[in-house]
Amino acid sequence: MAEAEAPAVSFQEAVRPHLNHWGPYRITRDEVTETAIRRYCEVAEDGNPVYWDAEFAKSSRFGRIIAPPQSLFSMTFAPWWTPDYLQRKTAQDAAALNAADSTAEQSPIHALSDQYGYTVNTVAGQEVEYLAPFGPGDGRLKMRSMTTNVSEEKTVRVGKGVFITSVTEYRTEVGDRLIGRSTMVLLKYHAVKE
Amino acid sequence: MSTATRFTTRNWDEVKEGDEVTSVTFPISLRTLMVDVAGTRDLYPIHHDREFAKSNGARDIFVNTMFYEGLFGRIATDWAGPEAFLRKLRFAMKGPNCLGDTMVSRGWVTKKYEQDGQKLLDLEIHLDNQIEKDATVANLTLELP
Repeated sequence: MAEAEAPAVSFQEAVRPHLNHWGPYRITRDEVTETAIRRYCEVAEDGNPVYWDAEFAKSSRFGRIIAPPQSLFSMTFAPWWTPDYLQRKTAQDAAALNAADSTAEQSPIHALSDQYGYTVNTVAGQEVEYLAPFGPGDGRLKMRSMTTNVSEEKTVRVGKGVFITSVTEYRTEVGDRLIGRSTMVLLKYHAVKE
Repeated sequence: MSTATRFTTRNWDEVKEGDEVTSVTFPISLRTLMVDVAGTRDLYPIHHDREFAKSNGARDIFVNTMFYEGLFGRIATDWAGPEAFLRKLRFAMKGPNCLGDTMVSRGWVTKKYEQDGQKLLDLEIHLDNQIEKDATVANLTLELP
């Protein structure tokens, strides 16, 4: 691959104007369902009956089947394939959520980091606060993010990279309840070829 | 059959700082990583494409972030009981847990306290594998009823 020409300003300077602005709300295509919960629980082989057993869950303090709080990130992951008409509908639903807020802007930070050659990414660390249980009956999930910090370039064991910190807020579609808040540090790096 | 009598949640009053969190052993097979992709919806090739992983500096394909979320949450509620609610989770991935590795957890209660009317426990859970100690280290806050 041809070496890209070095841009005039540093990556850190290029991203600075885009820090600390909430991006627009996104909404998941699908509702939180028992099936999605079960498939998630299969991964780490989590048999907690409040995720699996309606009768047990009903008698628990949650009063219903809930999703593992820690599944929030998976439950809001982009789907693998969606027909065009449903993609348009989901985009329209998200646009309606953002109609009241004209200041929300889609963060260009990931596109910028690719331009600067930080093309491979891995999660270096994250902290999530689970503010309330969620589960089937809460509809789809809404989320919005902002980037809060970008580090200087650092040398790590896989190459040279930058650490990008962002905050994401999660809400339920039904009742608009705030259910979680995450802070993620993503490492984006130039891969070192042997 | 009702499961209602088979699961009990720990009593916060009886937990002490320093108490051990029951260890979980989890070997990582190709199947583990396939179920991981399917269940967490993460198609990033570093977790399922061995050539991609190796050409990007990784030892091999490895479990993803959401796998750790699932495993740490499971370790916590396996130990504390089904009505424990995970309030906070943070972890550092110091080294990957790759295909063929076996993860073994070590954990304990680091703090017991009440805050905003909630009965809380802070847990620290480490995952070791056969190559690396402390490959992943997590801090959790668990709320008991």
